[in-house]
Amino acid sequence: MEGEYGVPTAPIVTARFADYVIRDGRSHGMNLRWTFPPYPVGWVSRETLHGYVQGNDPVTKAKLMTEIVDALTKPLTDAEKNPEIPQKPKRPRLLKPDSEANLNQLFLRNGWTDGLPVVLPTEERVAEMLAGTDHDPQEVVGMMSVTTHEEMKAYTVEKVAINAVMAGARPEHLPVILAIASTQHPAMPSSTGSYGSMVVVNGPVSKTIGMNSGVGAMGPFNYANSVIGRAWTLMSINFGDARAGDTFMAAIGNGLSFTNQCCAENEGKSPWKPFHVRKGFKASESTVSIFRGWNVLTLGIGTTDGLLQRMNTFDSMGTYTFVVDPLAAKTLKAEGWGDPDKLSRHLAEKSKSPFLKPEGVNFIVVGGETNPIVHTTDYVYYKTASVDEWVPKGGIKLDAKPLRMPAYQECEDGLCFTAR
Amino acid sequence: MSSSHYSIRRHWGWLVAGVIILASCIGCKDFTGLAGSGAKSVTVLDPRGQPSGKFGRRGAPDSHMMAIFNPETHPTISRDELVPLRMAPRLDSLDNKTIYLVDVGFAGGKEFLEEVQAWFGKNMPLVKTVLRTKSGTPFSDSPELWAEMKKMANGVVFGVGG
Repeated sequence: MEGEYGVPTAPIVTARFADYVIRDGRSHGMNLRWTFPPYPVGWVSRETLHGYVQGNDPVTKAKLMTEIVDALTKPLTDAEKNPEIPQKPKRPRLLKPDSEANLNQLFLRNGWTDGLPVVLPTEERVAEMLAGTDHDPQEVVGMMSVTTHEEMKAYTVEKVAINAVMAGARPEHLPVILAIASTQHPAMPSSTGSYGSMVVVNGPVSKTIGMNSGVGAMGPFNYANSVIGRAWTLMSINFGDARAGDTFMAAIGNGLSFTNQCCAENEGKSPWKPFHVRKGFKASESTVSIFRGWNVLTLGIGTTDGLLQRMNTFDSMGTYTFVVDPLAAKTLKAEGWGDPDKLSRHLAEKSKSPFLKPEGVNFIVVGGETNPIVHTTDYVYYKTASVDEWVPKGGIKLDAKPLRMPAYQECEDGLCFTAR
Repeated sequence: MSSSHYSIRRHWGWLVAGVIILASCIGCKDFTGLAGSGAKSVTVLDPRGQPSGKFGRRGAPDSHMMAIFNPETHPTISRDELVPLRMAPRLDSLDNKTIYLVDVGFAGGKEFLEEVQAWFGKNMPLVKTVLRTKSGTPFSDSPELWAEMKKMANGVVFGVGG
């Protein structure tokens, strides 16, 4: 309206988003004349709205209607006549040297962490991490933003290694973390609805680095699962520029975001082809697959009717990813679904959702067969990316004695742990 | 007993404590270092990404909500292509002007703008207001409405975002 049509405009946004829209406008060279009524405007009484209009803008303290009239009539200032797009300075590679205690505080105060202790990325530690790939440390991997419109931040192999060090990872984990970074998907896009994200690793690399795909795979019981998932969050903070209340506007936030849902697919127990094979990769290739949504329903038993029932009662935007225990997958196979893609088509046809397409229904097999449980999510599957292209020619760089947490053991008689 | 001797005895405990603390400080350099200024200096790398010069851009009109957050379908625009917004000249007065009040579709927006319209009716009766609700979602394009406003509107009030 303003630029192309020459019509003066008075945009109104609730006060809760004042900083967000002012900053966003300025970064794009737009000096819009905002008016900010109190929040919320939706689901409040007519009397409340009447009071808003008769009252003041809580941000500027000016009379709200005077502000709207002024927005349309007050002559333009010099800054409004000559808008500029500010340029952000390039950041230095190294931070100013300081004590470990002060640097830890600096990282916390600047919001460069998830609030938990991090391993400081010294030159020595980052150099050691970079042994986990043959790629040039200054090679650009991608760029991301948790917003849809702000300037994205670009990141190199070295920047990924820095965040991997901070997450507590080792060089053996770096190829998987680089593969996640290569998708350019932040784990926490800025939605008021609090996204959760999931990364599923397929192929031989999951066993090489000791990932868990069995009992408690999505819980805090496996070193690789935890640090890989955490590195994704730290990258989303530091590359995606996630700042709560500033660029990141989730009303409540999501506890899954600390390490996301990160695990390997239980290919050994699954009755189906591995997920990445169904997406066009070879079984011998290693990959990461990225998913994201809002809702996770953790209790449900895997039968075809059960899946359909939960789909029809679940608030979804039109996508479903079922995380199924191998027992549930075997139940579904016994019901005639040897190919999960056929099951996706069946569910899409039977679902009440008018938007649902077969490719919007996905299955991942994870779990240790203690119950035929299915996690129903509204996660959308975005992408599968190669891990192998980040692996050094000599193979995954394992430590002399790779760190492993107590491993899940198969115990048909349930006596593994008491026998220790 | 001389007064100086008494003074030494009186402060002896403090002297001994001071020597112990000093020795502790020398022996426990790392510990004191964590607490303050005597610490070993460490150099670390900056974990933040660099400005890319690429900005996100609105996706295709009426694209699926999920597509909005998918970097592969979400178009970008480089800084060089960004054009600062030239604002329209302002009106001398709203008297006898047509002001469109456009509800963009968030909850409560229409009711809020009805209150704004009522305010104009009572306080600035010479202003002609036209209330419209934009078609589609708050994120979608409405070229027909834009064309109507280009022709008919002297000013526009958009709301309510957020």
